[in-house]
Amino acid sequence: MKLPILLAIPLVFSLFTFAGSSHADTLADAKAIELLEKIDNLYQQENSHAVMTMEIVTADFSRSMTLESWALGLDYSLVRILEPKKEAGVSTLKREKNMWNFLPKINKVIKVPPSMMMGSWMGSDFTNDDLMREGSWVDAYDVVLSETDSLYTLDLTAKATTVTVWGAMQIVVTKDNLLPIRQTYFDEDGQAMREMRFSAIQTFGDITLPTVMELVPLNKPGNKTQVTYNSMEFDIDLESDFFTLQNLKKRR
Amino acid sequence: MSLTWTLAVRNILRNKRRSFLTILLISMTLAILIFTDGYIKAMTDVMVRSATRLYPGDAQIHNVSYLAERDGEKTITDVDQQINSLMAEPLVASYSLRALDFGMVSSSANNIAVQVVGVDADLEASVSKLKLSMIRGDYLDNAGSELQILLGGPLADLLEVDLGDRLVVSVNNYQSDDIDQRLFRVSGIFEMKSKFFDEGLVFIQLPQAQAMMGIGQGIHEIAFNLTDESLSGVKDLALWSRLATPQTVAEGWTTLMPDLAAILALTGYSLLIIGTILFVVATLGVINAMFMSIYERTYEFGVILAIGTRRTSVFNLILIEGFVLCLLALVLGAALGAGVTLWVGAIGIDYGSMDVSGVALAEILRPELRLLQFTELPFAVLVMTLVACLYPAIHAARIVPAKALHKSL
Amino acid sequence: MLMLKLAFRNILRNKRRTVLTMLSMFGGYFLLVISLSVQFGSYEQVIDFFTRDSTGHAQITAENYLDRPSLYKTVPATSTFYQQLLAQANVVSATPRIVSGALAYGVSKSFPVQVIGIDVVKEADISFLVDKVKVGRYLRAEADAEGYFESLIGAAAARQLGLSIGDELILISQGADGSVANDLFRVAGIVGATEGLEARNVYLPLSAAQSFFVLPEQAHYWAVLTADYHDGPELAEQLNAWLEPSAGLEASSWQVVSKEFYQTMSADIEGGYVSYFVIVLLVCIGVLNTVLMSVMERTGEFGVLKAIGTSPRRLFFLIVIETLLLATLSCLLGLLTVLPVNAYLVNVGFTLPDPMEVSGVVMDHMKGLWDLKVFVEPALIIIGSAALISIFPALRAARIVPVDAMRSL
Repeated sequence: MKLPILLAIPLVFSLFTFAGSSHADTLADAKAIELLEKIDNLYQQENSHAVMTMEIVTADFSRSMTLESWALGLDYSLVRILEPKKEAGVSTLKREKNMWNFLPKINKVIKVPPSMMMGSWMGSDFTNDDLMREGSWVDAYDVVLSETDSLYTLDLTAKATTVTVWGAMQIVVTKDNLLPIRQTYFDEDGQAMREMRFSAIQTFGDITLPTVMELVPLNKPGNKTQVTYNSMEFDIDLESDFFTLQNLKKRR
Repeated sequence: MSLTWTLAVRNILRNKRRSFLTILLISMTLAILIFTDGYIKAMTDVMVRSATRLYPGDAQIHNVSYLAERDGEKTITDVDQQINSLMAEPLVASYSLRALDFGMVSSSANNIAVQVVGVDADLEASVSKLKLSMIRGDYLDNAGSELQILLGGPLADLLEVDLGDRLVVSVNNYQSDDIDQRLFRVSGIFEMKSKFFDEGLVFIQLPQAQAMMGIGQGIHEIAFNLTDESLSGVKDLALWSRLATPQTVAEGWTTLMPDLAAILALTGYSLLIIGTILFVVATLGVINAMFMSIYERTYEFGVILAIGTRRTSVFNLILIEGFVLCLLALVLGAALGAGVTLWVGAIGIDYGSMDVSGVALAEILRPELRLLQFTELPFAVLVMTLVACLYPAIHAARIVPAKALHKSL
Repeated sequence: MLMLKLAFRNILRNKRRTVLTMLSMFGGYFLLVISLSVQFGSYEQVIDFFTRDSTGHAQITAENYLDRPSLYKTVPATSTFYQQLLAQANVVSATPRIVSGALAYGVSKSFPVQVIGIDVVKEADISFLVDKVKVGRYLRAEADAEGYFESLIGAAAARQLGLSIGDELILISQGADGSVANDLFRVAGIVGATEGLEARNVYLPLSAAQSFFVLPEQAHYWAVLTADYHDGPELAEQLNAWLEPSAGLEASSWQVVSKEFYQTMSADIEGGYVSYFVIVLLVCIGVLNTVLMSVMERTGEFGVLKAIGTSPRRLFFLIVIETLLLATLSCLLGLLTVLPVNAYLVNVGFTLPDPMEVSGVVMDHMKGLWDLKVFVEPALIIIGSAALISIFPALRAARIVPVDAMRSL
């Protein structure tokens, strides 16, 4: 699933429908890919508007932020901090491959330079780069499906040439609602490095999905980042001209 | 005149012990000077080499606007021309082409900002010690996989990776004004024993770097070594202006690393001080010796002056004695100095991993011989001896025969 | 006592020879003192400057801060803490500093800088920051009428960002609470040269830095000064004892904080001893010459002495004592002459032809030093070597065969 904007790619499966692949699938493979697609399309809407709470816990500090976000496909997104008051108005705009930050306190728009791209976003365990990444995960990973009575498990192995630091991922999905509960990232030696946990399923309009996502880096004990979607709307009136530097600077 | 010479030689031979000691004094002065010079030169060279030949190179060529801000966009575009000019210079021993910029390297455990350097494996091996610093895995191979990447041991530890592990490198692509990210697999790990290099650099193949940075065939830096590394310290070497073009500038390490240059200027200064001290002490010793020899012969001088020898002849006699002693001393001193220097040079002085102002003395120090030790230094010693002999000579010439004849030995 | 009298009388007997011998030893002593004085004097200068300017004689930091500095490892920077610190014996002054990185933005470009939060008043008393301000003026601690704080920026930062006095400097970093630290500061002054150590620094008033990085009432270290940099380690020990109860704080002497600097200086000092060895060697040779001469001259006399029953041992000691006496007298004379010269060196020093920079410290004068060791060590060395060198002639004297000796009478 591509979570709109912020929690985009690494947590995400392919956007593109997996059509036109030419390898001979076994029945299991086809089912796996179908499931992958389905979950992938879960968060993928044409556009969205959401308000969420992000909690960050590290060994050195903990904080909680309320964010409002708008997104159009994968290319455009605008995120604004609503709370805490000290940072209210700090916003990030993404247009295709460029990113800007607006800092209301000093009233400046700063283009995010490459050196800051891999840095953490707002102190969380997500990186600026996490927001920017795109790619077809079906093309990038080989997928194998297994199941138990209540769960599907998708094991993804990175192809040799995929540009990613992860060797493999595992996604556990509940059978009855086809929603993910857990996604684990492995390095190439098979060691689990981080885990994303999904919970609190809710329905917004037509869409049902987990509204709480918790990202835990397994090599930094005590750290975690948790995102809770407070509200979400899909299929709203949103065009690419909403995503401008002007709007970035607007304080609302 | 030849009588004076004969007399001088005979006088010297008369008191062999004293002559020997005087010769010893003068020769030791020269020997010590030779050794010290050889030592300091070797120390200087080792420092320079440790600094330059580890990685930076004796000298570098950049785009004129590059160094001010290390702006990755300011590349050298006429690469072939540059190479031709370099190869045409007999002083240039080897060169390496580098495309470099700041970027991030990510592993599953960590993201770290580094300097990403694209090099041609073979050219680089001829300039820096990268190839020799490999501790695990393989050095870069131009014909090998484009996923090759080399990083320092400490950096590998920080990223928690080992040979074969995935790394994603991100740099700014100046053509698309975008971030370019590519996958690499750790193919080799090096250790240059310098925190700056071992934690801060990663090496990939040159064409990969050029493609990622979007600079076409351009490069950022040409590092090259000279046949005589001590020349690289000369700020206004004609070579630099010959290699310069309107677009590029060539500079030796003294301009590129001014701190190091300052330290070395200090050592040159030390040699001067040591030399001065040596001379003063030696001069005193020579004066002492000459006086003693004159003193012994006061009666004799009294006699020859009384029978009509000119004062200037006496003066000359002393000077010539000094001169002859000195010549003998110079030969002995040169031999001694050369011998000690060569011997210590063969054994070598190992400073272990001592750091002198941030530059590790990575090599064994071998004092070396050079021409000026056998031309300028002996000349200086000769002058010193003659000057030292002046006072005694004047004194001898001024002996009053009547008084002198009173003395009996 | 008889021996001493004899020795004295012998010395006075041949004045010229005595004078010349003494001249050698005197010259050696004088030169050694001057060299030691200037060398130690310049080290003192450099180290004193360095420790005052940057590290302090000792530093109080959070445990492990020195090994792996981090924004989060802080020390209290309250006025209570300061008062308590000052109340400790041997603490002369102290100043707190915050150190962290940030991205600086000027008109359009960004540039990574090191941000240093300083206590404006204390810093001016302790370090030389005020003197390094080349353009504009030093900082004020308070914000201006519009609520902006001032900053000092390094020359390289100023150039890169195109900033001059009165312009706005934007800093962006991460606060200790994870928030995005961002703020505007006015440029009040530009510090240092573009290649200097401070070139990429930005100095802010401490309170501004504390609110920027969200480190209320904290800093990263206290630079503590005592009377003399030599007492750094003792100061650190003392402070550690005081800090014992408070969790997580430690004090380290400047030698630990700036290990590399310290090692470089130590290595230099050791190198200096080589040249002293050389000087002494030459002095010895000169002395050997004269002492031997004097023994030879008095062969007949010694023969008589032995014939009438003087023991060989007595003769041996006679020679040694003579030489020691000469050495001591030379050193005393040397001492007298060198005192005024050293006074000049200490107070005025001599100007170097090219000012040098060592570890970021510019030296254009070499100054001398008043220290006991500068006067005592050379004396001990000269007297000691004289004694040693006189052994050979003394042995010869002791072994004289009376019959042969008296033949030369």
